Amino acid sequence: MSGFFRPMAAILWKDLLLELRTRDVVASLFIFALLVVVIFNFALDPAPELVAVTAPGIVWVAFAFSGMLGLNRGFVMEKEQGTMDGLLLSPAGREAIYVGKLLASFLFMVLMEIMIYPVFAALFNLPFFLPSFIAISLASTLGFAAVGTVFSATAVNTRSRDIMLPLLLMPVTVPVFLGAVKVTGNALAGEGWAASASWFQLVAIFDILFLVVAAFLFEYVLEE
Amino acid sequence: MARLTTSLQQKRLPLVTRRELLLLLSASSVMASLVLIFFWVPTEINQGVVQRIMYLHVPVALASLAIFGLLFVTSAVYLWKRSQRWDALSYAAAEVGVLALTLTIVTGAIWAKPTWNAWWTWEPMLTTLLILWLMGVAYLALRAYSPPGERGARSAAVLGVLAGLTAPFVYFSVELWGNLSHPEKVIGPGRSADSEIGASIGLTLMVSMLSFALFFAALMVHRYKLRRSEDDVDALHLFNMQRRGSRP
Amino acid sequence: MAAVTLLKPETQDKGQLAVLARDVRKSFGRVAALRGIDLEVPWGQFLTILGANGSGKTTLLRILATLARPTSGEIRVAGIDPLRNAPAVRRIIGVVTHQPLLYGDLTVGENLAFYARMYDLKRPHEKIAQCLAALGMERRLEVKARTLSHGMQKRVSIARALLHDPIILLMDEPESGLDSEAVEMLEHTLRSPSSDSLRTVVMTTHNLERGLAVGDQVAILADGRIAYLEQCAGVTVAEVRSTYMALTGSTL
Repeated sequence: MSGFFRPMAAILWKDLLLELRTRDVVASLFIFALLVVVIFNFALDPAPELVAVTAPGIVWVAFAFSGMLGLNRGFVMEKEQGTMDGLLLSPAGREAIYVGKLLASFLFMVLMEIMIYPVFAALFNLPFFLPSFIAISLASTLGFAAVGTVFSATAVNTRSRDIMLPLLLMPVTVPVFLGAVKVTGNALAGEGWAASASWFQLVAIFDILFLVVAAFLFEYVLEE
Repeated sequence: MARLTTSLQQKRLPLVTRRELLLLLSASSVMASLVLIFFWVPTEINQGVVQRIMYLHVPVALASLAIFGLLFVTSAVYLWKRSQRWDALSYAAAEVGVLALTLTIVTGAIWAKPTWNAWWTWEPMLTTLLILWLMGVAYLALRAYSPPGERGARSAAVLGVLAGLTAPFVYFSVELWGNLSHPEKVIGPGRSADSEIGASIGLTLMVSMLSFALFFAALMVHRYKLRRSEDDVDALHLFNMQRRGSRP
Repeated sequence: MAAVTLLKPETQDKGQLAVLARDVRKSFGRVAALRGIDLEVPWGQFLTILGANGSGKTTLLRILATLARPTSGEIRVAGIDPLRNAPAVRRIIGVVTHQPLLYGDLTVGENLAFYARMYDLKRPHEKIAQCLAALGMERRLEVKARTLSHGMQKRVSIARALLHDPIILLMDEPESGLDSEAVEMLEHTLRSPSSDSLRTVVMTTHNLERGLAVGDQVAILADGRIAYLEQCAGVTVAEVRSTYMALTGSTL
């Protein structure tokens, strides 16, 4: 399996190192998510008693849109530096490239979520630590990144690639988004894990299915 | 190229081609079902005349679902076989599918306004159709924004497969999300006291389904052939350039 | 030339030719880039390809490098069909493209370490040091790729292509941006891998004199076809130049 793990780890290591050097992605994702939260506060003007109803939606719009920027960066960066061919020339399996890129995007998105949620909780006077919220955030972000990595590699080869990614990604990830919003709502309403069990099931099946299928299909979008 | 020359060699053209026959057949059967819908079948008691749109809405909706199912299959086969035919079929399915789905959503809204007192509700079936429509549009946009060549076809096929896989998830998630449900049995033979009326409703729906299936099949065949002709024009263009290029 | 073994032992069973192309065509929609390329490069040979911009040089090299699929035609690299077993081809070819394929914010060492891992190389640091030394770049290990000059980036890029000691080297205008000292170095290192055999090289270039000096064969690509193919030893620069003029309508 060294033919899978070493190249995969190499891509992850390379993306993390680049991020450590430039701090491009996580910082801009954080600021963008913060902007979304602030704008929504003005747009919806949620009264204190309504916060529990509107908060899940606001959080996930912020996570999803900001995450999409991060996914887009993943391959736009390779394209701009002209390093796509370097990845493609390596004998590493395309699924190793897929998983490496996916994990990097996933980590950046999770980092952004870890940074933005405390701010959000403070602004709206919400609890800071909700285990089921954390669990669904990880699961949904994984599903988002699993589909997003394929579409990001697709969008980068089209004209007007910045508009292409949301157009492709949003409809396909609707189930994950719904699950995330609903479970977050349950968590904020103080309900237990049982209330969200079927959502976790749905998101988990989505994650597994799309990870496997996307890893298999990735080759087709990379090829020239 | 070989296919092109053989088709040019078959000089004897029939009076009506098979494609034209299919179009004629579907046009006349759609006409026949319109006659049944508006003049023959009795008016439903509860909803009144607006219920007649069901005979358009249900067949078109079923056709659009079938076409999107086809898009999923042809996309997968294209990735496997890499033959332009399957890509042309996928493209035709996407275009005709988006058209059928637009008609479904519009006829559904027209029916919904007087019966549910709203143009739209976010129930599972409607939402799934809307998401499918968005994915169909994304497919066409992806084709339009991709550079010419195989790559656009391949990434569109990947979208076709992923979209097909996500459709059931969308349905189940919306079902889990709310407790609205699609009023499928607003009307049917079971509700009607008179079994003769019930039978005429069933027959009209049947004829309409058949004729719309024919109609969309005809559109698909035409769009497919047109797409293949476009490919042939490209091939001819290449062939021509090649011959000119070889001259000193 | 004859004194050197032309074949690496493990490649002897991989067919007589290092690179073979038969009626290779590539089109993008209505635009034909290649209109039927026939090419045979025996093991250990150096093929220089000349051609105007847009003649299909880059497309041909990208197809041989598994970066693009031909629309039709047959290709064998070391006897392997890249359409069936691309990873096997990728393992034994080194490719230098127009772009340096380096991450600007990583150091030279980090860039090469990344590629060494992508190729799953054993003892990567030894290989990196070797390749950099061969190109006179050993003191730039800790320098960020972004801060290097264009020529220096090109050298690192060539080191990157040689990391996994490929038996076949494909280069798209490698001399562009290189100073003459580096070009000299290139000629030495290109041909002499760690083992005692000669590397097979396919190189496109605009530099006629250099291309004839290093090549065994010279080809001219015009309108997506190989319009001219000769042994370098048997032709003069002036002859090739006038043929090039006649075939492409432009000067070299």
